[in-house]
Amino acid sequence: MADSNHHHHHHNHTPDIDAYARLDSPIHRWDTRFKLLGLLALIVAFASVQDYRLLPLLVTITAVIYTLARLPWAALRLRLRFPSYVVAALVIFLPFITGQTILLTLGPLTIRQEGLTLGLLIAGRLFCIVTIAFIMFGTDTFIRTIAALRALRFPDIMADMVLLTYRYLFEITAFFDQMQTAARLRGFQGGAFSLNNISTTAALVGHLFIRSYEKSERVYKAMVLRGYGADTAIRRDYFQATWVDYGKTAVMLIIAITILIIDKLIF
Amino acid sequence: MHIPDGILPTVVWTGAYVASGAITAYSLRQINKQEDPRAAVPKAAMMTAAFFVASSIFVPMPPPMTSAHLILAGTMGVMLGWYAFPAIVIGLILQAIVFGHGGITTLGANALIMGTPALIMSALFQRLVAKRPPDDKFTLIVAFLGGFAGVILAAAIYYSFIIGTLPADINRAAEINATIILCLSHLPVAIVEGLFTAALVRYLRRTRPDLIGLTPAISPS
Repeated sequence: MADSNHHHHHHNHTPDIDAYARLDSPIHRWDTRFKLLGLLALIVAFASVQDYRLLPLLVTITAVIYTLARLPWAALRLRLRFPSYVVAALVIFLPFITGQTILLTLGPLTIRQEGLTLGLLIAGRLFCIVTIAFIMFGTDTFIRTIAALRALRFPDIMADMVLLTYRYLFEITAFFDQMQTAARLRGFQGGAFSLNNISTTAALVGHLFIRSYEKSERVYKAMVLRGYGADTAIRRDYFQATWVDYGKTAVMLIIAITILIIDKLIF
Repeated sequence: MHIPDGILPTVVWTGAYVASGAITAYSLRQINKQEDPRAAVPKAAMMTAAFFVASSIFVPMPPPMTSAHLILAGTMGVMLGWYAFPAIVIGLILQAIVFGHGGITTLGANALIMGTPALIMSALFQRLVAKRPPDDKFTLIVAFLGGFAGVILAAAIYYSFIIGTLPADINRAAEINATIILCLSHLPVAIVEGLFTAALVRYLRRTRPDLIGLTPAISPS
């Protein structure tokens, strides 16, 4: 990609996020910059919906785009697992603590309508936004997504840091696993609470920081030798949008604005 | 302590985006004042990754709890200085893109939850500790309070966002009480993180004092 020479390191672990990046679909073929803008507009519209009666529409739109993207449904189920915990922890209480209109009384518990619809609204917005975000990032390689952000004026230093952090993440995780195994072999039981265990954990983490820092000094020297610090701007022809890309983004903008209008004016 | 998408009202999450965008821009401006700002980027990235990994580990907790995540907001401030806030934003971006956790619309709010304690601790540690002798007890007390206050402050911002914006029909006083009670429920975690931070500072002070700002941790080499 582009002129940036430090983005080509080999990853020992195939990053999960690139697993579906090379499938073919209308969403995959969409210019990454315009895809980010179009789907982001949709996310903003979803996040501002105030009326729970719009939820079936949101779910339908999300399902249609997901189907168009040809991503596997099993992957979505995995993605939605974490938000499900959030819903279970935060949203499930709402029907019991807020609202005036009593729907149902079960012994000491009263289920109230306003709390129920608020909970539904939050859960619906959350699941739809997480799904759209998965489509947005899952249909392109990580590197290409960051390049598109750069093209959209995301600061260069931040983009460099995102790529490098991602690259180091796997190394540091592997190293930390090794350290923990070594500590366990030497008899460290991290399980119980004691001052001793806390300071052993702190020493492990401290050692991790020192190792990472010292490694980064060597990495930097190697990167300078390979020309880092020279221009990392993206070649002008790296992304090329056609009227089809504009069209797809225009459709998303129209859907987003329509949702906002229905939510504000009609309901 | 991440706020997921779909919970905050539009005014709140856009406001949080503007605020954290401004803090990030200000931090980058401070970084750009250095002679060769890009020289520090690989180091900051490596440390960001190290913090990402470290914040995924569990530390043992006193009963009835078993273990809890480290938050490390205060530690990030002390070790990363002006890189702390951008580093937190980058951690959140990676979480959103790679792991699908954390939230897209709430990225700004989540950056404020972690980043505000980091910035405050960075300033306090520099001011109170930088010129103390190397075997000083006061440094460890500041480190404990830094780790402790980092958790409480992050929890306070987190619950203010959530309780303050839910259209629940409870009055302002009840909302403030609920926020205080929920923050107090984080006391055990805060104490453990305080102890952890003090132990970490003691360890680094012996081995690499420059990494905890006794001289600038991240500087072009």
